[in-house]
This record gives sequence, C-alpha cells and structure tokens, in this order.
Amino acid sequence: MRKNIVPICVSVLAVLFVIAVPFSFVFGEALQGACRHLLKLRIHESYSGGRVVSSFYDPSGDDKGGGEFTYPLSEIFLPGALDIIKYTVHEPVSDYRSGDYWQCGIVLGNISSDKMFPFGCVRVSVYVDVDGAKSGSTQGLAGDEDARFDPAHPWDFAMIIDGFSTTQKIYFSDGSEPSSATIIFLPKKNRILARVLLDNKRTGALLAGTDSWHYVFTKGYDRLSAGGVLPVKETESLRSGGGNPDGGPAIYDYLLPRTTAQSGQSTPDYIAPLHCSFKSAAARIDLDALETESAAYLKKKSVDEKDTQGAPAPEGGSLQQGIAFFREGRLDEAEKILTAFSQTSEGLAYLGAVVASKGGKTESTFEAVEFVNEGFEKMDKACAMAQNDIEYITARLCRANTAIEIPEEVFHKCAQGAHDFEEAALKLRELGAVSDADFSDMLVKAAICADKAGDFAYSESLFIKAGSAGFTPYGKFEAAKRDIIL
Amino acid sequence: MIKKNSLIESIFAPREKGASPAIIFITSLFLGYYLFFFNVLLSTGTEKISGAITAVFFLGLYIAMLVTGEYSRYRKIFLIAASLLMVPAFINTLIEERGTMLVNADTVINNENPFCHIVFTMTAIPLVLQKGIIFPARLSGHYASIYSMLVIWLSASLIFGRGWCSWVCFYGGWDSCFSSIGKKPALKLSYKNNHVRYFNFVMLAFVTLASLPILSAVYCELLCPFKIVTEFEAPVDIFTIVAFGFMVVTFLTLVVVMPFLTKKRFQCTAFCPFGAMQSLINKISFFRVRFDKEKCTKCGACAAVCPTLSVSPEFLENTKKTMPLTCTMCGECMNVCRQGAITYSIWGLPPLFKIKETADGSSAVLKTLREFLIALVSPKTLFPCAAFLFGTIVSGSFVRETLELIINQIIKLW
Repeated sequence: MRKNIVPICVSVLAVLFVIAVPFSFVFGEALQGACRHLLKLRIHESYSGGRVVSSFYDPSGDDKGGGEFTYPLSEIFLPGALDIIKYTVHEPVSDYRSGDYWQCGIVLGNISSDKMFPFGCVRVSVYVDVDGAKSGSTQGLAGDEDARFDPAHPWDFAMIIDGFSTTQKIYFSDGSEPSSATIIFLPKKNRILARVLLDNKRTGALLAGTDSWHYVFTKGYDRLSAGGVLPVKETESLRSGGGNPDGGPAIYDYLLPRTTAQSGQSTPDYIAPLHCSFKSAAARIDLDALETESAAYLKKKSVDEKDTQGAPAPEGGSLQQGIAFFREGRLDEAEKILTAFSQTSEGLAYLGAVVASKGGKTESTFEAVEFVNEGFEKMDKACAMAQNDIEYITARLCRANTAIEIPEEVFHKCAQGAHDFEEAALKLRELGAVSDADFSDMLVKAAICADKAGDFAYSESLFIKAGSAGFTPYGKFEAAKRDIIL
Repeated sequence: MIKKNSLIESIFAPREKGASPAIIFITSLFLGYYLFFFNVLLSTGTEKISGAITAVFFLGLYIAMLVTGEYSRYRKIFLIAASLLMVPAFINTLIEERGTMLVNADTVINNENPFCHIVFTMTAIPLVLQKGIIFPARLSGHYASIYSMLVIWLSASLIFGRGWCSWVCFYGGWDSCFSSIGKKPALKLSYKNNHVRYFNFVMLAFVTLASLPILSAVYCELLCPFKIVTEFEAPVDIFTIVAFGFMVVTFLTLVVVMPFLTKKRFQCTAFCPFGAMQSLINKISFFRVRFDKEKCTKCGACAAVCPTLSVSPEFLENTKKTMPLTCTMCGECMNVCRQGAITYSIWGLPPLFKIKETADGSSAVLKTLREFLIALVSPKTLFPCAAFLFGTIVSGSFVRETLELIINQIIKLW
C-alpha cells in the first residue's frame, strides 16, 4: 500500500481537477472577485483617454440660462440637447497614433437626434486657465463676447465644439497659431470627447502643471447666425430661443462649482471657474485607507443594528421570530415559521429570502440553482402582493439584498436589484423613515448592483445621488473604487 | 458464478479500444449532468429547447468518443461545430449590444471590446511595466471581460496547457475545418518542414515586443485573421484599410487555403502567438501526453498525421518521455499508433499504474473491479472528460444561441 500512496494521491488530485472544471465556471464570479482584489487591473489610459482626475456634475433640467430660457421651436433641438450633465477632466496621456494629448469629456442631456446633422445644435465652449493670473485673457472668442471670466483666472486656451466637426481649433489667449483638437461624438452615451494635442507650450503646460481652471458652458449652434451662435430673444421661434427679454448672454447652461447657483449667472461679474488638480487621482485618494474606514463603519453599523433589534423575538412561531431566525442564519427554523405567513407579502418576501439563502449553504449546484430560483419566485410574488408602503419596502429590500449576494453571471438579478434598492430608498425617504446615512448606503448598494449588471451609466447616476445625500465611508470607498470622484 | 463473473467483466473490465460500459456510464452521467445544468437549467424560455439540443449533441459526441475510442475524430467534430456555430451568436451579441459588428470609437473609449485569449500574449509585459491593460475591454461584468477570460485561461493552462488549441479554441476549429476537407494534401508539409512551427514563437516574440512601445495590441490591430468572423474596424483611413486588407489576406491564406492544401492546421502551427505561449505553459499543466519509447517501432505513422508537425523521426529517436512543446493533445497520433506508445498522462502519475495484488491473491471479480477503478482514474478517462467538459462549457452558450437564432428564423418562416 505504501508504494501506491503517491499514485493514489495523484489520481485523487486528477479526479478533483476534473470535478473542479465545472465549478470554476459556476463560481467564476467569486474567482473573478478574488482576481480583482489581488490584481486591481485597469485599462491603459491611452484607450480610455486618461485616468479621470475630476468629474463635475451639473443638475439636469437647468438648461434655462440665468432664468427661463426656452429652446427654439425647431424639432432639431431635442429636450436636454444643451443641458450639461457631466464634465470630466482626464490626466494627459501618450498615444502612439496621435501623440500626447489631454482629454475632457462632456455629457449632455441628449445629442442623439440624427436630424441634427449637418447643422447640429449644441455649441460647447471650454476655456482653460493653466497658470492662474500670470497670463491669459478675460475676453471670450468670437461668439462668446457675452461671457465674462474671472480676472483671477484668465483663460489661456480655449475651444468651441460646434456642429459635428471631428476637428476643432484650439485658440490661445496670446493670439498665437491655433492648435487642434480631435472631437469624438458618442451619441449613444450623449457624450462628446475632446482630445487636445499637447504639442504647444500652452497646452503642454497641462503635462507639467498641477492645477487648472475650467469654464464650460453651452449655447445653441446655428451655422448661419453671427458667430455660429443661436440667438436667444424674448420669444422663441424656429431659429431662436426664447425667455431672454433683457438680452443677457445667450448661454443656456453653465457648469459651475457646487456652491454657485446658476440663477445668479445671467448678470454675473464673471463665470465661476471649476478648479481641477492634475495630481493623479490615485495619489490624491488613498483607496486602502478608505477601505479600512469602510470596513470599520460597516462593522459598527452591524453592531448598532443588533443593539437596535434588542431582545430576542417572542416565542410562539411569530413572524418576528421567523425573521429573527433568518437574521441569525437559522434557515430551517426560519423557513418552518415563515411558511405559515406566506399568505402575506411580508412573510412571503422573507420566506423567499430564506429559501434563496439556502442555495448558498447547499453543496449541490443543482440544488443551489433551484433554491435561488424558487426564492426569487416567492419574492417576485411578494412584491406583486404588496398593498402598503411597509410591504412594498420589505419585499423590495428582501429581493435586492438577495440579488446583491448571489452570482450575477449565473442568475442575472442585479439589474432588478438596483431598481429595488433605489425604489425602497426613495420610498423610505418619502416616509421620513430613513437617515441620510442609510439612504445614501441604500443608493450605494443600488449602484453596486447596477455596476455588477453592467449598466455603468445607471450605476454612476446612483452614486451621484448617494453622494448628494452625503457619502458614508462605505459609499465613499465604493465610489472611489470606480473613479467616481465628487 | 461464471455468468455473474462474465457480466461483471463485460460491464467493468477495461477494453483495448474504447472504455468499459461502466466508465462510459459514470463519466457520461457526470458530463451530462453539467451539460444539462449549463445549457438547460440556467436557460429560460425557448432557450431551453436549443440548450437541450446542444446538451444532447455534445453528450452524443462524448459517448461516441468513449465507445469507439476514437477521441480525435469526435473531438474534431466538436471543435469544428463549436467554432462555426460561435460566429452567428457572437456577431448577434455585438449587434444587440452596440448596433454593429464593427469596432468604433464608442466601443474603444467605453472599453467594450470583447477580450480574446490571444490578447494575453501582448498584455502581460505592458501590464507589469505600465500598470495598465493595453486593450479596451471591460474589466468584468461580461463573458468576454478581462477577469472572466483570465479565470478561464488560468484554469485551462493548469489543466491542459496547449490542449486549449485542440479542445477549446473557437478559432482553431476553423483551421481544423478547412484542413479536414478532402483527403490528400495538394501541398506536402511533413515533419521535414517542421521548422515552420518555430515561426509561432517568432510571432509571439514579435507581437509581445512590438506591442510594448506603442502600447497597443499589434496582433489584434493588424495581424489577426479571425477578426473577419468576429469584429474589425471599418476601413475608412489608410491605417484601417491596410489592416482590413491584411486581415482578409491572412484569413484566406493561413486559415482557408494553406490548411486545405496541406491538411495541417497551418495557422495554429505557424502563426498563432497564443499557441506558442501555451506551448511554454505546457511545462506546468497537469495533463500531458506521454511517449513510450520502448513500445515505439518508429513506423512514423504519428509523424504523418500530426496536424501541428510536432512529431518527427528525430523526436522518436530521442529519450524524452513527453511529447514536444507544440503538441496540442489532439489525439491523432494515439489513433494511429498500433503499439499504444502514445497516451495521455498525468504529471506525477507513473505509466501503467496498477495496484499490486495482495499476497494471498484476489478473486476474478475483485481483480476486475480493481482494474475498473484504475481505468476510471486513468488519464485516458480523465483527460477527455475534463477537456471535453471544459470545451463544451466555453462554447455551449454560443452554440445554444446560434441554434436559437436558427429555430426562431424557422418559426418566423412558418
């Protein structure tokens, strides 16, 4: 027997290898998570346009200038076409095809009308100051004479993205020979990217400098009007916007620092610039420290929740006892009790969560899938049965909390989970039954679900919502991991 | 008593060609369970029908493989079917996701290009030096994301190294397909020309080094012939026109014409950098192919049939126990070797592993059962099971989706 030990062990190992083949696919997401945690890979900046240094978000629906601007009557101007949603500033990158460049990105409310070609309707102005008050101009380019700039931050170079031209000129405040930028339109994401070549001293200063100040605003574009700017008059017509009786700047939307209200911009002393630091995002944000903080916060939250739940639930097979057993992980006992309450939405929701959780405990993959599917059937039914706010919230939270735990690649429940978390959070807020911290955390969980489901735009919007309510350490960490820097 | 022994022997006793009924039953049950799990249980609605067809087809191939002992023949059928059926599903997915099969600025900037296994060859060194992946793909959340492919590649490499080329690769099936058309080669390519396979390694070195300074996957941008059946950039400027032209030329030459003329897997043998990389990884893979020099009569039949020109008379003369690095574990040589000199093996397991009989002797039944157990855990049984299962899981969803497209079209026509 001793002589056969090695061959027997190798044979056993071989059998385990064979059995591991399907398991590596079933638990692929867990393995990927482990790889993600260990390797922390990212795509090289030359493809994404550089690491995001800063993201600036603007409320949607504020494309009314300083007051009550309206769009022209022409159907070319779709709602949101001149509404800035987001502006991203990236680190400069090297690209072998085009040379060193710096990228900025603008997300608008809507640029997807195919009727816009060849005239287009958005005119985005981007003015950048790279050296503070040392040099620059406070006079806008042709068509932007009505814009006023902060004398402490006169712009050094500027571009105006108008129409659908894929090349735009970069103008310098000192009047030197214009450089060029490549413009990329991504209609599906309502996004415009501008890549400025860093072959000029002024634009090259972006590589060396650490700070810059940006002015970003939108006007309507009309190729046939003076300066290519759509006029905004008192009343709208086919070829002009309306709601501007005082003849103020024809600017529909300004991207401003958070503390500045747009309403004051119709007759400002100057437009407030956005400050952006070019130090690498990774250097500015210590992810490890955030992770530690997040873990400590979640641990404390869990302890606080247990204290809040207080004394053990009363005996006698009550719904509360069933829920308590579920929270303690005593699934079989919970199932027995909750089955008696399966006629109610709340009972059925928890029962579904219990059954789905059993999928995580069983060793048979076949059984696991059956449990999870059965659990979700119950929770779906519970959501449909909900007759009041409590039941609505309970059912959705049960479903969402289960969705975030199970492998997305197998079950594809995270898209629904994201909506459930969001709806539950909004409902709780409506009832005044949730703290800002919990509201924010719920939206962060919704964002994580959306991220897992691959809907990154929705995920980002949820992170923004959560950030508006004030990130907890958990939310801050999860957002920072995804380069969402508010 | 005699009848019982005969029955037990007929069910459990190992056979010269093919597996015993007991082994066929046990391994088919195991394989069938997971084929139905991945293709039927995880599907919804009408996908269950195409999933069931897929599972039955794959299971049928596997059982035929075990019954006849002709591993290579049915492996080839599987690989060709999976490769051809992968294309409509893949293109359909691209169209659903982004409206076109063409690569555009959207997909590059949003990092939405599917990550293919060949890209690994070009991304490893830049990743270490530049801390970034030089390919615009999703990191996770998609079947063709980087982390997903990384897990698949690591598993495959540990299990069977370059066996990927014969049991999994959905590009290799194209090579196999065209090299299987007709019987006689019009262009003789034999072991005398086996220096051709070293060009694989030249390609590997070239794409690895060329990708580094320009921080771009050179093979994918310019050289890959399989873009024609997956995705490519629209030819709109000089760079993309050249790339498009090159893609068409390499596909027609290396994937269609040369395999057809030579009856060898020409593209896999001479051009694919991933194959070269996997050859190097063969050193650490668990399953191997063993060559028993003592049994070999140097008839050269294996050298004649090897589709990757791995076997040569020089190799047959030398004392090495494992096949050359470029062996893709396809099993063609095992099919033709009458001496059984070439077998699948497991690293660390001695050949002809037998549990020694006890001193007092055993009954015939016990002996049969002992031999059955040994045969069950032998590489001859385990390797095809592992490799076939791996390949079917990777390609199953594509085959299923293509069948569903076909079924839906038929229903629409009716």
